[in-house]
Amino acid sequence: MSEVISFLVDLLSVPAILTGLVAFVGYLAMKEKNFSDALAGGIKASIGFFILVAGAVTLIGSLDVLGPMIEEAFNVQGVIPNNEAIVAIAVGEVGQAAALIMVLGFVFNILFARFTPFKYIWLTGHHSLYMATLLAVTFSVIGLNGVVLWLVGGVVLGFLQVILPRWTQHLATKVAGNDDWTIGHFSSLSYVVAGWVAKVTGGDPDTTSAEDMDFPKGLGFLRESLVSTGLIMLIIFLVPALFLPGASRAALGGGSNWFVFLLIQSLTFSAGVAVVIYGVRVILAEIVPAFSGIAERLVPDAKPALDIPVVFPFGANSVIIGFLSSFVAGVVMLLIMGPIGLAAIVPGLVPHFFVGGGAGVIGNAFGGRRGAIIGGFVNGIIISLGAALLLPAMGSLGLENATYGDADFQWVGILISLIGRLFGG
Amino acid sequence: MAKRLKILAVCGMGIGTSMLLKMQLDKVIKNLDIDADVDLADISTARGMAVNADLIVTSNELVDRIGDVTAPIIAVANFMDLDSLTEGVRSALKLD
Repeated sequence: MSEVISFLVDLLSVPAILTGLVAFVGYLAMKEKNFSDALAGGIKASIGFFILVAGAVTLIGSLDVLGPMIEEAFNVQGVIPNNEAIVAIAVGEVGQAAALIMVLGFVFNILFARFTPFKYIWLTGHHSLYMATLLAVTFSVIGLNGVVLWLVGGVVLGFLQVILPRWTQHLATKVAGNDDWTIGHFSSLSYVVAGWVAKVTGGDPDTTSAEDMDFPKGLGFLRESLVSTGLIMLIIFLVPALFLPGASRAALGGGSNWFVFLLIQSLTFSAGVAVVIYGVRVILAEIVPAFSGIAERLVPDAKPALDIPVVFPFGANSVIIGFLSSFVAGVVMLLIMGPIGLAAIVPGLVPHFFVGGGAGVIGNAFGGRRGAIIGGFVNGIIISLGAALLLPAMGSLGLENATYGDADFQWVGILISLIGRLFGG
Repeated sequence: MAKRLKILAVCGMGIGTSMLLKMQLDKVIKNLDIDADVDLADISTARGMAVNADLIVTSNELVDRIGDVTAPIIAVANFMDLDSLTEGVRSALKLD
């Protein structure tokens, strides 16, 4: 008997198996799926998890080159805000808790939507997975474990998935002109602050809209995360190399040319991120539709909380303006933060594009083109500071050279760490 | 019986907005009673995957980045507007 139990414990402590099982049960709970569909879904979700971990192995190799290089060149800890990188690394340590917290988060999301006035269903599955991982890490650091960790994490995740969409509802309503849906993206702090600052300091949204301008469309390629990650990583690897002492630089590639070596490292990192994203896609393609189907049946009057690109069609110019302005703020913060003793947060193109772009659209809706510029800039400041302040909250993972790129992951992690310090003495 | 159709939902990373499109498309498929699967793709790999697709659905501002493909493309402006998506799928697949 005890052998059976220890077999089950061993089996379920493998996060990939756990995830597959959840997808399997989720599909069985949906009326229109049959057993073989459910089995295939479960197997796919399990493999997705292993793909994610394989991506982590790939990108850690190149991060291990980058970290010491920035350290030697500038004498600061250099950190890349990239959700996929930090999640994939963290899953290696807290995978079981992260998988359970994600699932319990969905359950509590449905319960909160059913029984509280916050009637929202969170459909941005990759952000649920990333937040579940963050909660697993930061709650473990302050001493929670086992069932308590899973339950507390699940309740907090479910609560965030209804309360933050409520917080951003006025923004979505303003942008879209109706309140059929809202934003479900863990950058709510950036969006709310961007909207508020744009309203106070921006121009008239009706007469000075950024959308009335003629604006070049050439930056659309940044929407391709493969391209934007590859491009920025090459720059991120090259700049510190140029500041290294000549002998250290020449030694970088062992026997081979240092430039070629760094080119390989930057492209390898991007390949790792692409593998992680593929893994996330395989996992979520099985789990999110099942969650959504169950939620629609149990809470038919709930509104969907959606990924940020849903606002992009309401402001194509504002997306580009918000991105550029957010990125400029990120560069300014990079130059300021090292000298005042914080980690150097290298501006990542992906968060600046998606979140800065979203903040631009919201800024434009409240304060015209000036609002779009200010909204993006505010986001750039928030996510740079947040990324640096989050590091100590992640314990040993804070020493890795990657961290979370979006504001809500950052403030939630920082808040949990502060609470832990309050009670831990 | 016609073969099972393949629909590709495309967005920047292939995990967020395209998932939303997939869930909307699943409803359309059910309403129209079509035999079809919806796969997700990111914009970088979409062109390669489009070779085997019968229909591509993406957001307005990404249409130009997919380039020349043989399958018809539907550009979605409002992700929650199920009626126009249904109409788009119906006319793109020449259902009537």
